[in-house]
Amino acid sequence: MRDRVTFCIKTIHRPRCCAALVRSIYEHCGDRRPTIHVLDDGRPELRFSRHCPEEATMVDRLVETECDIGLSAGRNRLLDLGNSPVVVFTDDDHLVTEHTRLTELVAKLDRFHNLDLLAAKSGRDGGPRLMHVKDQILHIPEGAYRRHDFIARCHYVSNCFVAYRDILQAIRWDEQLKIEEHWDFFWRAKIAGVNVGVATDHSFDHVHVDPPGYLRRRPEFLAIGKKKHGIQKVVWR
Amino acid sequence: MTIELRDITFCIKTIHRPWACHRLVESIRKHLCDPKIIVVDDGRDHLRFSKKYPKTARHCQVIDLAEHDVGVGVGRNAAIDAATTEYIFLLDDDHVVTPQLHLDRVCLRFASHKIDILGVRQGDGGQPLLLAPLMNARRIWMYRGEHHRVGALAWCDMSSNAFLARRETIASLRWDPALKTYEHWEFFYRASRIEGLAVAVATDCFVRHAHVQAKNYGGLRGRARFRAMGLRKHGFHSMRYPGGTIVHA
Repeated sequence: MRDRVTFCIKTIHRPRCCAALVRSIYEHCGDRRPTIHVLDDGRPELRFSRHCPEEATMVDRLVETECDIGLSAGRNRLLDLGNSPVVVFTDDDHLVTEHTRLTELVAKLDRFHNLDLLAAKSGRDGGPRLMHVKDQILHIPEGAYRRHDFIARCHYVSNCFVAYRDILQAIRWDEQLKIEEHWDFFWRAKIAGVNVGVATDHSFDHVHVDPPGYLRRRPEFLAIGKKKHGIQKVVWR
Repeated sequence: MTIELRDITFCIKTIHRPWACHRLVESIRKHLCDPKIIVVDDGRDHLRFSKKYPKTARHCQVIDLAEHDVGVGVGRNAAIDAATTEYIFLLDDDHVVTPQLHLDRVCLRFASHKIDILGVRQGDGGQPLLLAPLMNARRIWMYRGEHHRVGALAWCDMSSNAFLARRETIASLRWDPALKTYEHWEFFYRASRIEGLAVAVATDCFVRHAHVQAKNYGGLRGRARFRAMGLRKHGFHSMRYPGGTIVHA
């Protein structure tokens, strides 16, 4: 597992979440845990390594960058940091649990033909979604275009998935989008023909945390994404 | 810098589709004033463009190659070498030029941006494509995508076969003479991924692509050994197409 899979965590200003995620990987994967890479672009006083030094030693590689390089740049750097063929991406406030069954999730990615990226559910959310544009509106409704063996083939999933590193390196996240990068990534993935699915019988826990100093709502990045794709709005139906 | 029509030679390689070639030449002449056109023909003598449509051929510099079926690579290289203008505009013989080409727009953008090869759409096709190695560079993936975009101008790795470029750039890059067909991705792979040329597509400029499946042409085109040859040349064992189909060398 450690040669073949890297768990990539981009974190900012949520050191305790990141620590809990790292511990959950150890707890539920044991000797079969993946390599763990963490990239932290927070302010020095809010760093993962400063607040959770013990957990920081539990990861295989910790990269501390200049402040607020953004989710996209952070994830791209994580992609280029390792060379295992498979990567796991989650938010830093996800947790691996007994329902994640990470080894099995990776095995399903390998086993099923024509699958490049396989998500688990994110808590009770994170079901499969489709994407289409009509009248300059990007629609992202719940749904799948095919279901078999608890795998729903779709266009859009939550940010808790296993995928082939080379496929992600081809698509990459758009670094001008520090947030609001998620739908842009999956829209480009759809256009490129990336095969996406959700294993609906696997899940990560997701207890969303918005601590002080955490920069979430930045509408300027939504505007950049919309302009780039020539759409007026994004609707979740 | 401005690019005028007199600075451009339209380069066409044709084989066994004289009617298509005639249609293309006439369409260029209809929409552009006194264009320079080079046609390279490596077909059988009785299927030559110059023989079937001598009146149309008089408006072109026709190079009837002595050897039959030298292939797309050799034929296009011959056209580029024969051109004397600063720029070439490559076309397939089953393209048709219409007012939607907007050649003035193409020229203006080429002159205003850092672009080495500027393609146009061909009907529904000719979308900007990217090329990425997969599986430790054993598979090449050709997929829809863009590096970046300014308005209708999208930078990418691969465009259609209808493009404007400096003659010198293409004369230096060249098509691989060994590839008689399936040469397209290989040409753009070298251009964008190896030579680092800037490739872009003007997504609001079009030629019509009216494919002609001539009886004597089909067999020359579907020769998978040339695809295998191109893949192996760059160390790939397979290719993933935009639709997801995988073909092996």
